[in-house]
Formats: sequence, structure tokens, C-alpha cells
Amino acid sequence: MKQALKIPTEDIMRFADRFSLGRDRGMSSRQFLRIKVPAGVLTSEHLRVIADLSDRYGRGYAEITDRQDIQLHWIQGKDGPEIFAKLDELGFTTDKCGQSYPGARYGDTRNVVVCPATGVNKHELIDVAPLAKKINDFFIGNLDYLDLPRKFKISITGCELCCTRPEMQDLGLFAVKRDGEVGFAAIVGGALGPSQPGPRLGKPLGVFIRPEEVFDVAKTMVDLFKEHGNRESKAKARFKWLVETWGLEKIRDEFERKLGQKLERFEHGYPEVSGEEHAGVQEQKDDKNFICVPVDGGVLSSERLRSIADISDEFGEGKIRVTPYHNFILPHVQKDKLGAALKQLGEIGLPVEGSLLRWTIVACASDFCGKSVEPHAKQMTRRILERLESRFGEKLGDLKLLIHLSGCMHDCGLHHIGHIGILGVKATGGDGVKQAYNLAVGGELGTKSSLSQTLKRMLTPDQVVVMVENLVAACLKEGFKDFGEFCRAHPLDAIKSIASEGVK
Amino acid sequence: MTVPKGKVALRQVDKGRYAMDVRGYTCPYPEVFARRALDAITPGDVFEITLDNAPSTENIPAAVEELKHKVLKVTKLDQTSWKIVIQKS
Repeated sequence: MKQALKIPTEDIMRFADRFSLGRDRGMSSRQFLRIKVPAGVLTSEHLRVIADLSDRYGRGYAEITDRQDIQLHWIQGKDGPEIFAKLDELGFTTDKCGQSYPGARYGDTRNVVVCPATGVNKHELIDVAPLAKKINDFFIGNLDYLDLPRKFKISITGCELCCTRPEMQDLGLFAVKRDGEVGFAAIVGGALGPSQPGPRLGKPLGVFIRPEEVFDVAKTMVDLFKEHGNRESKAKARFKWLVETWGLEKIRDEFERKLGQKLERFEHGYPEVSGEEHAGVQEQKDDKNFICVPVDGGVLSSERLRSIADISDEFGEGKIRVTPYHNFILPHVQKDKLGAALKQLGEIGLPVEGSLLRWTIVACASDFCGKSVEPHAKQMTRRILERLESRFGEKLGDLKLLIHLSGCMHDCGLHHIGHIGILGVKATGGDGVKQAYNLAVGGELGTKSSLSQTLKRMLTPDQVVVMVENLVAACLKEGFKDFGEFCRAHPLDAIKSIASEGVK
Repeated sequence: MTVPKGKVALRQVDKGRYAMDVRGYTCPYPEVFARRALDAITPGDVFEITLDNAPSTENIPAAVEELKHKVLKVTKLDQTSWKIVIQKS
């Protein structure tokens, strides 16, 4: 007689809807753990536990991601349940990494990206952390929303810099003021990856959303995607495909029909300022300060995580925030303690100094996903930064310059929206596979939003570094304070000539 | 539409042959279930696991190798699912 054998499952089934591991294929890592940090806010104790997990399961390595997650690598599947139990105690969850499924399903809502200075930023219109929390809490582990056609990305910010890049989200919300009333404008259907219809900046929805309406707007937009997103083809399953094929008017009509109300029309474009980091020391709303600390490649060792936790306990009321630019913020520092806090940060190898580029340069984790060979994305940005700082020194200073580098066309490094966007491509020749890069310029967010245009393809890593150096030299020589302005002042052919000077 | 995860059960399909369907589960669950199933069966028994999580087609064979069992076959059943057949050593 056939029978079933019992295996224990209860201990892990409780995690199945809130925790998973993603696939790695590089650096001998098979799986990564992407810890969602709600609203980007952690305590020093959280950081110590993550450091312990990293030591025990992830070779003492951690990286901050552009959705304010903390990612560990080298995770063994068999250790999953033990790790999940520890994170569950902290109240954390992970992405549900269903994107390896070959079809259009198992998509989830990703960590809601939030202004990392929310609640303390003296220039913000509204603190969005409670709104982000409500959205996150609703979707995490919600069985009705774990089988979306694909992932769905939401951001919300109340700050003047729109540091959350709403233009590249499926739903990007940013605070606006209309006749003295604070509310939100929305951008829909942005995404930079290659899935159809290709990289897209989102489109302004053109409505005014009151803070109390934000949750319903987010839920309804995800409902619209769930119901009408393409389930026939994974390549057409992102929300941008629906926005592109329906058009903005139909999206808005169907969205409002589902919402059960018409929102007030509100003419708006992209945010006035967007895609900037809260760099360095900034005054808070109260008498305190926050320090945004640049982190090379977003990578932190477990030892540094613990040191940051200690510094946070001493100077930052035990709080830390991670930013969409892979940096972290130490909030609530008393003015008379700033010097001591900065000194200690310097002593642990995290000096708050150098060019603005240290805060804004972005590279993906192509070393771990296995889509690049050396020099990987983070190695390249390090080389570029070192070269530019060593050549231009203080002249580089506050130049507004976004250098974004992706190891592959999936664009986790956001090369499409970099003033200088660099895309990794593999070159296969008689001597094997070598890493090459395409160089693009002119990406931008904010009122002048545009995707970058390719200048030259299949460059060697050395050629890329020299071309970037040429471009920055010309930009500084011509007196521009913003590399985006430099790009707009010259036709693409002229920029190509400038970049190529002396490049063999 | 909700995630169609079934209850995970290790069914006997023939003498010395067991099967488990873990479609709907992402990493690391298929691997964890496979390890536990291999713990539960007898040496020489064959275990078939059906799944739709592509990375598990690499992670489960790697775990099986680590445990010194034998992967007999990895079959693509259709566009979205696979069956891995393992013999316990």
C-alpha cells in the first residue's frame, strides 16, 4: 500500500510568503539575501544582528542597495530557515525573489523607496515614513499580491530633492504644494530594464493626491497591474508595458474607476529637482544634524557595520538610515558633537570628505550576479572616482555629476539615467571573454529628464576611464557646475570628439 | 489570483519511489524540502521533485552532490517546470 512520508515543514512554512533568497552566479556565491529595510530606517541593534548574520553566513560582507535593502551573499539554502527566523525577530522581511520564474507571475511589490532624511529634513514638505510603512505593511506577505505579473516598484518622498528617483518607478510619488495644500503628484510606468517596451521614464499621472489618499492610490495602482498586466509574456509583464500600450489617459480612467473616485486634475511634470543625494552634514528640522556618509560601492564589512552601530549609539541616538545611493545617514547628531562623530567615522575608514561624486556614483553588484568579468561594475567606479579625484582634486568639488554603471543591460546600476552612463558588455575573442563597456551621456532626472545616449561601444576599461576623464576635464574647463548642462550645451558628435581625444 | 502553493507532501508513487511537488515555492524552499525528503527516505530509494523555480535546478543538484546522493535526471517538463530525479545513497 502506498503511503506518504512525513517531513517537518511547519517550522519553515511560516516564512514562505515573506522570505526568500535570490540567485547569484558570481564570486562563488549561489544565493543572496536581500533584507528589506522599511523606510530605510534601522537601529544600531538591527545593524549588529545583520553584522552577525553576515559573519556567520555571508563571509562578513554586506551591501546597501538602491531600494534601501541590505544584501548579503554566499547564503546557503539550507541556512535559510535559521536566517529567516532571526530576521523575523527583528521585524524584517526580504524580497520575494520570484523573478527567476520563466513566465509572467510571482511578482511582488518591492521595498518602498523613501527619502532617507524623511522626518528630519528641514526642507521637506511632509514626513512620508508612516505612509511608506502602511504600504509596506499591507503588501508584505499578502497572498493576494504575491502573484503579480512581475515585480512592482513604489517610491515616495516629501523632500525637495526627490532623492527617490520617482521617474524610474512603476509608481513614483513626490510631494507638491498646490494653493498652500501639501499633497503628492505621481509618475507611473517607469523602469530602466530591457523588457518591453524598453527603458522608460515614467509618465506624469496629472492628479493631486492628498496624504490620506496615498495608500488607496498605491493599492489601486497595484490592483490595476494585477488585473490587467500582461500574463502571456514575461518580456511584456512589467507595468511600463501596460502604461505604454494603454496610454496615460486610459491608465488614469481605469485607475480612477477602480479607485471609485475621480482625483482632482493637477498639471505637473517631473519633479523640479530629482536624483540627488543628501550629501555630507545637513541641519535637521530640530537643532540637530544628520551626516550622510558616502560608502564606496555601498559595500560594508561586518566589522564596519558594528563600528557604525557604535558610533550611532554614541552620537546618533542609535539610529541609522540607508539611502537610495548606497550610502548611510547618521541622524540626530548634536551640533557640538559633529566634530567628534566625523572624526570617528574617518577613523573607521568612512571619511565624510572628497568630491560630491563620492555620494552619487552608482554601480551594480555585477560581480555577484555573474554577468560581468573583471573589472566588475564596482571596481570600475572606484577606478573612475580615484582617477577623477586625483586629477582634478578640489576642482571636482561640488560638480553635479552622476556617473552610473551597470554590468549588464538589466540596468541595476541605472546607467540610463546617469549624466555619464556606462554599460558592461562582454567581448568574446580569440583570447577568451573580456569585459568591455559602452559609454553613454545625457541621462538626467527631474524637469529635464532624459535617457542617456550611447557615445561609443565596446571600449576597454582603460579607454572608458580616459574618456570619462576627458569629458569631466572639458566640463570643468568650460565652467559648468552641472554635467547635465554641459551635455545639453554640445551636440552628441562634439561630445564624442571631446571624449575620444587621445584615446587609442 | 493568489500563489497556488500546495501543501508539501512526500507521496509514495511506487515501491521505493517517492515524489514531491513544490511548484509555487521560490528559493530556498525547494532545496530545504528536498534535503528533508532525502533524510526521510531509505538508502536506494528514488525521490522525484517537481518545481517551477529555475535556480533550484542548480541548487538542488549541488546539495545532492554535497550529501553524496545521486542525481539521476533533470527533465524540463514544459516552459515553466522541471522534475529532478534523485537516488539516495
